[in-house]
Amino acid sequence: MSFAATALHISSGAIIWVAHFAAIYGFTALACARNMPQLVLPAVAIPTFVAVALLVVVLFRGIARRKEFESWMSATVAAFSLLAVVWEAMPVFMVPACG
Amino acid sequence: MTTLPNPGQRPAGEVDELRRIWDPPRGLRFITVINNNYVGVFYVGAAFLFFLLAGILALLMRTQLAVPENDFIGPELYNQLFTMHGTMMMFLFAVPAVEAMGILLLPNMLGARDLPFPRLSAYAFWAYLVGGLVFFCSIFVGWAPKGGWFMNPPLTTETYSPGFNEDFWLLGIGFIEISAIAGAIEIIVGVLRTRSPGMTLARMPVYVWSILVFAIMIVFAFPAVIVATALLELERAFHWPFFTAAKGGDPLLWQHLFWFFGHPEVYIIFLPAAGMVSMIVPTMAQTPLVGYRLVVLALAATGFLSFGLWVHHMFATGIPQLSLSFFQAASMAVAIPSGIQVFAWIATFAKGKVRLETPALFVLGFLFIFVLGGLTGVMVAVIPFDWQAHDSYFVVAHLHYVLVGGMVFPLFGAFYYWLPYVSKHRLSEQLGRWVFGLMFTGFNVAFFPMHLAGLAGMPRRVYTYSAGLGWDDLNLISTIGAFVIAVGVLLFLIDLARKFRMASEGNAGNVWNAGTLEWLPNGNYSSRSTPIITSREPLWDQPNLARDVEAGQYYLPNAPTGGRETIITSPVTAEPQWLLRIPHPGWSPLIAAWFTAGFFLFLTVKLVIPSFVCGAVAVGALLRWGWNLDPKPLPESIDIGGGVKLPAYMNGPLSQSWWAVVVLMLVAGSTYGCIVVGYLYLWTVSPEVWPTAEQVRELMYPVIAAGLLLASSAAIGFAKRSLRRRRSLYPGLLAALILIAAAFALDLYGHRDLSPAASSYGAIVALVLSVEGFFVTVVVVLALFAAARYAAGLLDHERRVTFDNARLLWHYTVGQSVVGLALVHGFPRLVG
Repeated sequence: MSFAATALHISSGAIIWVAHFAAIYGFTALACARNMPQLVLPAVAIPTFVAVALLVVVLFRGIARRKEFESWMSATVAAFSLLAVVWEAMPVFMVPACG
Repeated sequence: MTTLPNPGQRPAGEVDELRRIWDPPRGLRFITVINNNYVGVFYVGAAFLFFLLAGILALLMRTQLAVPENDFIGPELYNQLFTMHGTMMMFLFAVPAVEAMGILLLPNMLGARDLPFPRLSAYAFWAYLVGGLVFFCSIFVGWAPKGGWFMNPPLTTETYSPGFNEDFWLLGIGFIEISAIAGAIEIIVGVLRTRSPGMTLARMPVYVWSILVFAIMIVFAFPAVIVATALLELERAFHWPFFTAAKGGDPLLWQHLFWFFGHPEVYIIFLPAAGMVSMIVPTMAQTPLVGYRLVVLALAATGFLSFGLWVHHMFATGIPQLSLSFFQAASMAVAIPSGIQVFAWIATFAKGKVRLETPALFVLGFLFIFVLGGLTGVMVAVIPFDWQAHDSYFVVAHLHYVLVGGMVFPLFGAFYYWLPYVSKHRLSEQLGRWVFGLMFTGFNVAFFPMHLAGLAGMPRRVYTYSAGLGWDDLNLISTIGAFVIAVGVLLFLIDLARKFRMASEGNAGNVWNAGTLEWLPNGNYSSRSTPIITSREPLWDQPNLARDVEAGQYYLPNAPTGGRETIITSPVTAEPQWLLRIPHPGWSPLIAAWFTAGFFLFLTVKLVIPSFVCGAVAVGALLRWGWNLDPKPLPESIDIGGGVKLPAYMNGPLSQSWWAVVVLMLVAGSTYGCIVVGYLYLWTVSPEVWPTAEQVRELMYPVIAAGLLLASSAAIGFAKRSLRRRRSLYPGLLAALILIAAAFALDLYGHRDLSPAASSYGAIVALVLSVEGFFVTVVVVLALFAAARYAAGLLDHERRVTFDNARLLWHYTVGQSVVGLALVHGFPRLVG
């Protein structure tokens, strides 16, 4: 595997996390700035579902070859990202959208 | 057991030859030295000097605050003191210190002769030293910045802070970041391409992982603060209203950009320190680190998660609560990887037989202080608590527990631990215990009461306070503690003066019985031969390694090309690929560094002509420096032993230079990303100053400009093919230069009615144009430089690294400019 592929393999969980975090924060900020609080829930939920699905795929692909260091890293980075994605999206159920 | 690549007796005189080649220059030319073991020590020394200077400023502040209503220092100077203390500790001590330790330790820890770009390290060091010293001296003339280390506008705009003070911060610090980025490029390419054969990713020492994560974080975090400082300086100098609410700007944009850098910055400082701890703990316990893979995961996880925490510095700014909650959640999640590391260290201590020598004491002190700081960190991550504690001394206590605990204590541990590697003698164990005892006690006496003062309502950044508010005793205790720390540091200096005698060959050696490669016998040429690694602690697991390396029985025991060399290995599996000929010392990097500093410093005090003269000299020196790079290819492969023959020249994606340019493009991309986000942010806040779809000028300009840009890229591609087919480089290059200049001119003409000072829209579009102009200028200069080398016979179908670099950046510039056109011309049409 080339270095770029290895680097992408290890960091794919982190990249999904970054995209998710940027999406939920950016969309929420925009929805609130334009006074459309009704859009906040889908703006958080859709990226979260997509991110969770992608992370699960990365996680299982890594677990299958976990003896190899790079795959182990890929799987655990994805597992940690999964935890962070779910944990960070949870406040949408507890905190008013644009309060 | 591996087979030795060069068994048997080596010819006499090889070591003398290595010594001759790698010895630093003598006499006045000594300051041009570039060996990592010298530049690294100077760099650490300079960072430590700034630690002492910033510490003295802290003592002045603590003296002022010792008693209520003190008149020792007035508010004007006090504002400068706390701004300088924070700024210097973060920018002139913490980041450079960990970067300097990397430059000092990495080559030996990786088994390389030196880092791939030693002149770049020297440039980074000198730019930082000159810039930093002049910056510090601003306090003697009352020009020091006084807006706090995070410089929030509108306080720091020209209206509320006229004079040069804030400019010193913006230009002085902004340019020192360039030196940090130069160091980061050096570290990334060094770690990925100069590891000993056999040192796969899974066998990299934890410290190397930590410094790699550190350097990658710099690549993505520092551009944000560079953009922020550029915006604020543009607003101060030319009234481009990025932060002026009345004209569609927003002061919070500063905070977003600053803290997008500022929070990762905390981990940028902490992770290498944690990496050092992960080296010291196994040695002190004489057993491998427990949970190596988990610790590497923790470093990586902290690295990326730290980019999702910046708004927790902005909980009190009125951002919607749900948005704050995302950051509260992320702030709590980041405790997990830190926790993993803490448990790994405790478990390693528990598994081994611990020698409680000074480095171990500092690690234990670090654990105590850092865990406490981490716990108060979780407290301030809780939004309602933060609203109470915000801007109070509780935060001052928290940040010092995290930063001093997380970085200063490990660094002192590292000083004790690694000093035998650069000095004839180790530091005194007896005095070391006193140093630790005084610093640990002093620290807790100084900073623990600040939690209580903060909870009792004492705000930050006040130069005095009234008696009877319940803060008097707490402040007096804090001041006593601060001076106890100072006594500890003074003792350390005395010990250093007594024991530190710089030495590479003839250093004190592996006094701790450590397991990693930096403890191999070494000289200015690093280790005599380049070992083959089969484990993470090769000195523990590979018997006779030190003896065989020193006897020259491993790879490259000599200097076959007659100059400085190091083996370039593949980035994942560390297999030898080619032999890099490393440049020798010279004046041009120093002159470039001094005059780069001069350019920025004269610009700070608005001496435009001297500034531009310095800038021209710096560019000249950079070009002179570059002229000697890319040496003539050697026809023969070089035998490094064991039947391995390596080419001594490389172009294309395997060359070290290609890698550096790719990292540079990541830096540039990250910078541009911040500008694009700035554009979208300002539109989100103030759509009323944006033009409607009808007001945007006709589509013809951007479409033609984009076409010209893409055509210039195609012309560069044509020039590349011509060069490889041994035809003339000029037609393609000339076409490319004309096309890119025409594209930029057209883009400028299309915006001839733009007034940057009128609104935040005008300002951000003018910035996008300026950045395009800057990049176009850079690639034009690089292309002309390649053409000059071609004309001089220094560039051909094989020897073409200079042209490849220009070509890569050219394509990048075209891509970035097309994105800029799409943003500026497309976005208002899309939303208008």
